[in-house]
Amino acid sequence: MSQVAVEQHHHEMSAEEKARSIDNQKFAMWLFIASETVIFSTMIVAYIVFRIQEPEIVKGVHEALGLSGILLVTFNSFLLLTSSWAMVMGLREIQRGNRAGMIRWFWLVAGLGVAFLAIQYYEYVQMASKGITLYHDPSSEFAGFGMRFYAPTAFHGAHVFAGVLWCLLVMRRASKGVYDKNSVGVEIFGLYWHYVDIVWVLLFTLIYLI
Amino acid sequence: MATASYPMDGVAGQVKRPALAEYFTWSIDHKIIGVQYIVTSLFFFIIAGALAMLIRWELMTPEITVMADGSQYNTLFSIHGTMMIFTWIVPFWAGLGNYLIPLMLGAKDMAFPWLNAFAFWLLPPSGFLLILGFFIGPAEAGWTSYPPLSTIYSPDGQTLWALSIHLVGLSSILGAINFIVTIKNMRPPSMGWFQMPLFAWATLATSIIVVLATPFLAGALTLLLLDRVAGTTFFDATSGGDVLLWQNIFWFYSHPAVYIMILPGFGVLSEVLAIHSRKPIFGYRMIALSSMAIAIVGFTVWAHHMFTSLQPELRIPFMITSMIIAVPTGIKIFGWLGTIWGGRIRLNSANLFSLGFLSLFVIGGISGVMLAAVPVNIHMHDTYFVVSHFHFVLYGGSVFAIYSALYHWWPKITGRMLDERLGKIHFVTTYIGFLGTFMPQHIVGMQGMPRRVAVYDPQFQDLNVLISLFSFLLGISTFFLLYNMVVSTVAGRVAGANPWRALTLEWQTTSPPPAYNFAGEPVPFEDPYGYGTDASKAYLDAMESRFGPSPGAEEERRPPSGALPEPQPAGD
Amino acid sequence: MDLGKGSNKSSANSPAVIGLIAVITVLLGVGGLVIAQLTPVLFPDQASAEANQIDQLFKVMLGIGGSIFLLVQGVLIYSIIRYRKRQGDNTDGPTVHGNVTLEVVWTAIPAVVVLGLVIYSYQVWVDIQEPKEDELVVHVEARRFGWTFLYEDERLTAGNGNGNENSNATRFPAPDLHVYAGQPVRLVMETEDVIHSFWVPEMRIKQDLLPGRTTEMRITPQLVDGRASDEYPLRYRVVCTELCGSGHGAMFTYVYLHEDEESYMQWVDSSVESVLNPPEDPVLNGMRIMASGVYGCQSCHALQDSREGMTLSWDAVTGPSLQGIADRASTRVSGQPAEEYLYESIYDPGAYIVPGYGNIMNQYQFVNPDAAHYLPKPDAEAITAYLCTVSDEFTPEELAENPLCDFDNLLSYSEMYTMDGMN
Repeated sequence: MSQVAVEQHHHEMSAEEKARSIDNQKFAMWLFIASETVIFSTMIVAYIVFRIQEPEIVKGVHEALGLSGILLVTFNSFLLLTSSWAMVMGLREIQRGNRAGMIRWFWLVAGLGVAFLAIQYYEYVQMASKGITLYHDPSSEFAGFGMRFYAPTAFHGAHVFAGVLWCLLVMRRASKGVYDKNSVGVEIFGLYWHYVDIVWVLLFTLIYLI
Repeated sequence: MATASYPMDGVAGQVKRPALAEYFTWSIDHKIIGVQYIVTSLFFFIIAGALAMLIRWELMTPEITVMADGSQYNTLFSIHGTMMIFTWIVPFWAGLGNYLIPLMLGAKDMAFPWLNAFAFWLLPPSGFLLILGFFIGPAEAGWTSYPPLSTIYSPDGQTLWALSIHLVGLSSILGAINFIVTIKNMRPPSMGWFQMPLFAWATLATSIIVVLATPFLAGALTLLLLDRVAGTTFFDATSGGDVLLWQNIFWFYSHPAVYIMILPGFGVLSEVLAIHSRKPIFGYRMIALSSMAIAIVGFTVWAHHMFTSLQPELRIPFMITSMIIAVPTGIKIFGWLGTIWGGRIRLNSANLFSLGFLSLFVIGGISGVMLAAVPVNIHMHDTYFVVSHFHFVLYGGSVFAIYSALYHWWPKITGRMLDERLGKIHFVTTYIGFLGTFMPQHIVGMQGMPRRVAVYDPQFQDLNVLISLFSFLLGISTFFLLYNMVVSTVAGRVAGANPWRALTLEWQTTSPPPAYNFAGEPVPFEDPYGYGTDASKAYLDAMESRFGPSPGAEEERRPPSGALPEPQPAGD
Repeated sequence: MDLGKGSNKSSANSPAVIGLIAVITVLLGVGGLVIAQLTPVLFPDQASAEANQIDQLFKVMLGIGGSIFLLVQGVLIYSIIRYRKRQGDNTDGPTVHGNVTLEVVWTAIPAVVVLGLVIYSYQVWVDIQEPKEDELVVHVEARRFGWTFLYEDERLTAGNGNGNENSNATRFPAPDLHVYAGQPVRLVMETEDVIHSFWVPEMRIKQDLLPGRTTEMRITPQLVDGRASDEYPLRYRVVCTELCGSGHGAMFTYVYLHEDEESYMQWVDSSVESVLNPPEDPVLNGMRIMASGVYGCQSCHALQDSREGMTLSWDAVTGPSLQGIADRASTRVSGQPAEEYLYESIYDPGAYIVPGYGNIMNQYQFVNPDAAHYLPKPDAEAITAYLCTVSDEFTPEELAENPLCDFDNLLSYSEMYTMDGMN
């Protein structure tokens, strides 16, 4: 992602240097993902501790959400998983040299990402109307749940949002032919998007199913 | 090996230094960024040092006399600690690593130059956020910022404090990713893992800690910020939160952070002691691997900072791990002693600070083992004994290593030697000032003086006055270094490519190195510390014939008079 | 004098070298022992049984640490002198890369030493933690920036005049901790606001007080070596060791170490007596309440006063001084009489902030006896009545003639305050 400026600055890269640069970028992305995992884990641990200490409140939230609420989130998870699949398809197209095909698939990725965020927003509104708030509201029967729910899910939502922006950037650069020879930029975005997806599966399971 | 075809593109004194203005711009050259880090961190060091002087001034009396009230005093040590850690030691090492790692590995630059610049430019705003706090009620909950003092009971500056640390944290994570990738992938083919300079090993271990530990701080700070501005109660025990949650997450980062601050110092020592004792490092593998051992065990000791708050039965496991970590540290100390034993020890400023590190760090290590024992800890915890312990480790350790690194590598960075006479004055005043300041603090703490107090039992006043007077000497000593850096950079003796006759790659190019560091592919000597062999002598002689003699070398190493090139005006 | 370091194996094993190593080891051991003798000088009095054990553990560690210190500094100084680079010598040192035996030795020896210290420390810790028989339980309450100690006494029952109708009804409060030699004490501690930490340096024990939790610690006070009988009760500082805000440094009180139970019981009896039979005069009763430390006024305010055998000697600086407060009370808020100002300052401390001080005083509650900051109305009235007589300008006789406050107005004002449902 950061290589453009460098390439312009540097003399022509040898094939060996290019191969190393690809390796570098993927390795860096994995390290970044390791870091992100740690941040998510602090918030997830805060939720788990609450889940263990206050099972009744969590049960109450699940009942308040009802079947329709759970189904909506399940559908939303399905959207995100689908977007991951679309991302894989797009990556395959660009590796075959089909720029237009890749961009078509990536519109789907971005669109599904936006849809996910829209539904998450709708869900937040629903939750807020039931008295589940980010700030601590001692009068609410769900006191304490809100902050431990909104913090990880909103942090995840921010990652989806950043991912959508990144997706648009990748599409723009693809249309300029940046990835025709070397699709590492797309692959790295792919790693990120899959990661965000996996975190959601974990959050979904933890918060809604258990 | 020494037959690589080096064009004669730079003899000592002829390489242009970057123009001063370049340092104030967005640059993606790792050498510029390295200097930007170093100078920026020195700037914050001076501010944080001035705060320390105010602290010591206040402590000359057992009542509040200099400051307006207790809050004002609390801001002093809160900002002092935060700045020293997050805007001085941590970024200094990032800067030195930035400058040296590509050079040591024979690379043209870091793996991600743009990311590198971005990471640096997060640093100045974060420092200024801390300073900005002074205008809206600065943080006063200490650098540890335990809630609920830091949430419900603190002024708005605490929010800026958290944002500031967030930025620094992001900066070091991005920097560390860059280091790990660079060290893993960008070595020359002939340099295996165990032919890397030990500073690279130390930086690798440090970076792994940063990538895995700093995000915990980011997570904790996010929750703290939510508590402060969004009405959540993660850490508010009156509303279902838990104050120990913060302490656990904070120390899970902050204990490894101690190693983030000291491991690069260990790396510096391994370089400086070997080079200036003219002997191979003693037990290379043990020293390299003990860094990794410290990095790993460092993740299991965090709760020894919580011996007086943790449930009593949980204290024992952390006592065990905390004591075990003394073993790899001991390996290093003995390894360094083995290195200097039998050598030709040059007593120049660079080496003096490294030797000084050894003599002071061992005291910090011993007091560290004492503090790891739960029964002793419950007496010493949060007293001046602890203050003394971590200053022995972070000042006698990290800062002495930083000073040593400056005297050692400043000639490479600027092409000019630092003045040795000033350097020795700097060393003597620092060493005496340091011992006088921090040795008696052990006693004050054991006798019963808690840390972070402006009002204390009058029976401790005499010792505190003594400590303060020595601390003023310590404060003054810093100016010998700063003056030296300025004067020598402008008019110091020209260094030459390799004034120390060192074998690591950063010395096998001009001082300062040209754009992209090396002309042609650099060929490392097979053993970075292989001093005393004919092969290493041949390698160094071949390099000297390429880059010309290094006039910056010590007096005795000078060739017969007349052969020495006249010191030339600065390249810029 | 080549100790080898692997450079020359045959010389490393020669009897002379082994003998030299033995001599140096003995010297280091003796040196460590000598350094360890500093222990009693470094620590303050040993006023608890725990202190003996902890000091002994420290002494062992100081001895071992001292040996290591001497070894490292010795090798360092010896090397610097013996192996310093001489003028004109441009050779390198011997190419020695290491010595496996030596490296194993200096890994194994510290590991064994550390293991020994772990086991020893563990034993000391278990001893200290162990519950003792017949512990004296003292409840400790900390708040910014002071301490209150509550003692159980069977003579006290709910509604016996100490004003407290809540769970503290059978306890009497004290601003200081009183203990006596040989009686194990268990402190049960709670904080009302931020984290504090209880420490008596002379007793070596420290424990944090955590919001939302009750923490405990045990001390077994003992007679102090070298103290004569007439020096008792010994007085030591209780200090807060966890940063708690602007008044952190000033957050200390005293522990009185009585020589025996008899002396201790004298203090208990007089304390219980003053709770059971408070003075009829509201002014004196107000002074008694403040002196008992139950509301922690002494933590932040300064006041020197002495009446009827009661003495207040406060010198805290966190809050505004109460010295001569009655003279100023009517001038603070225009139109507000002295008694109303003083009363309001107790129930609603934020109503008027004295310049130069923060709004950090506790918000007392007088409706709910189980509230964290419960202050019953009669107590507040008595304290106000007392403060109305704290004057520098007028003598008690003059005040009796021309009081600075209107007591009837105070009672109706306090009634109004209650009616308003403040707090």
